[in-house]
Amino acid sequence: MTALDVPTQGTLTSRPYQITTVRHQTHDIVTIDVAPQQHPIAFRPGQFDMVYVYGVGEAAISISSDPATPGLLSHTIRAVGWVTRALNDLQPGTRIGIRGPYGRPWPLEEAEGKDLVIVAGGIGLAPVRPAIVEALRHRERYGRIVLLTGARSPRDLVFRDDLDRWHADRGIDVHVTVDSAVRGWGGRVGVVTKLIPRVPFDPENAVILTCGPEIMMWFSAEALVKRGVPPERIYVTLERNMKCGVGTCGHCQLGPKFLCRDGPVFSWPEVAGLLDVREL
Amino acid sequence: MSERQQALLTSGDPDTLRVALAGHPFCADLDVEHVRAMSQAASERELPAGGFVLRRGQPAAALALLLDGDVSLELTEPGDEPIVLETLHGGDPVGWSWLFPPHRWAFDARCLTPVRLLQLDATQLRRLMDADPVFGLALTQRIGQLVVQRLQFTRAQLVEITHHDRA
Repeated sequence: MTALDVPTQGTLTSRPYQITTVRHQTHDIVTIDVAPQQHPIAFRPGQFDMVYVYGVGEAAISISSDPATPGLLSHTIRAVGWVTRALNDLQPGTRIGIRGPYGRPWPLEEAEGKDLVIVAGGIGLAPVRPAIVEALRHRERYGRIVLLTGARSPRDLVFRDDLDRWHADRGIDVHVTVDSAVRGWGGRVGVVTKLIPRVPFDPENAVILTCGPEIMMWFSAEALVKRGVPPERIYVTLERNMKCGVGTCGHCQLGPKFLCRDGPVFSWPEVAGLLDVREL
Repeated sequence: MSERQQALLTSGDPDTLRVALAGHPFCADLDVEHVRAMSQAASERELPAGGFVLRRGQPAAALALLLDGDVSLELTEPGDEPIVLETLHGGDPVGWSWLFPPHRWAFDARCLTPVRLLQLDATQLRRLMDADPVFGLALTQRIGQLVVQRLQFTRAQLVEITHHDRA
């Protein structure tokens, strides 16, 4: 059993949940908190659910809440398709279906005794948020914890309350950058990968969790390897058209991998060669 | 950097300038003699927040190597808010227009915080490069590497900005 292998708890049957809160993160991203109508199901950081809007359809959404409170489940969703647009419009009190959790989680155990570096782009902060919360709860298990996060513009930054809180927390070193800004934004401007060469961590003794657009993860991995991080300690999470969630339908196939079953978290050497292939 | 070193740096001591240059990431692994040669063209400069390291359209008369502070690389149209293209920080070089004709800056570089930098006179640098082709090649390769790196970052920025919905 590798650091990434865990049994999948999810089945093909969705369970009813009720939306308790809708939090608007940006103009097109919301976090919906849901409470189970039956018993809560535990999950691990990095896993995802298939979220069902009755009458519209399902979408694969990473869980963004604290794994210690499975009774209050959060999903952070950007409106890009039919289902995610419908999810963005839902109000508290609405019932939705959820099945899961699915997939391999982040290998937090492997990071124990090492520096933990998280590189997140845009809404990519959502799938790594549970890992950050979990790592901070067990702060003594890790060396440095570093978060590098970026967004398209200041208004596209998600989890701003968390970022402010983490900034004030000495347990985590937070670096925020945006791709584009006008005067008034006092922070950094530039891609998140630009931060990699300069932030303090021990590249030879670090585990990296990366989540964001594939191109961003590719650039990040390149910069991390150049800095001296062993490629097998770099982890990325991939998302491609997941449908069944259990590796049966093949919609999320990337070469020999079914992302829902074999991922969504992969070590860099497992997928690096696949992300370069145009035909995939 | 110690207070003494900083005081010496401010006074323009060439040895201290050489040490500061040698410690700057832009000069990492550069031949000791080349660093010594560069230090002859170097001086230290301090700028307040809001000051300009360089201004668009002005002669590109120096290479600036940031020691401390944050700088915003901006493009401004008269009457409009400046567009921030990138921020640069301690350890970053600022500008390569000093190496290529017409030797004029293409952007503004404005200090977001008080800034301390090493300024290398462009005319002297180019003369040194002409006189010593090995040094010329070494410096040109460094600037080339910088241009490539910034181009890749810019492409990544463009992808993230224009293909946001694919993320």
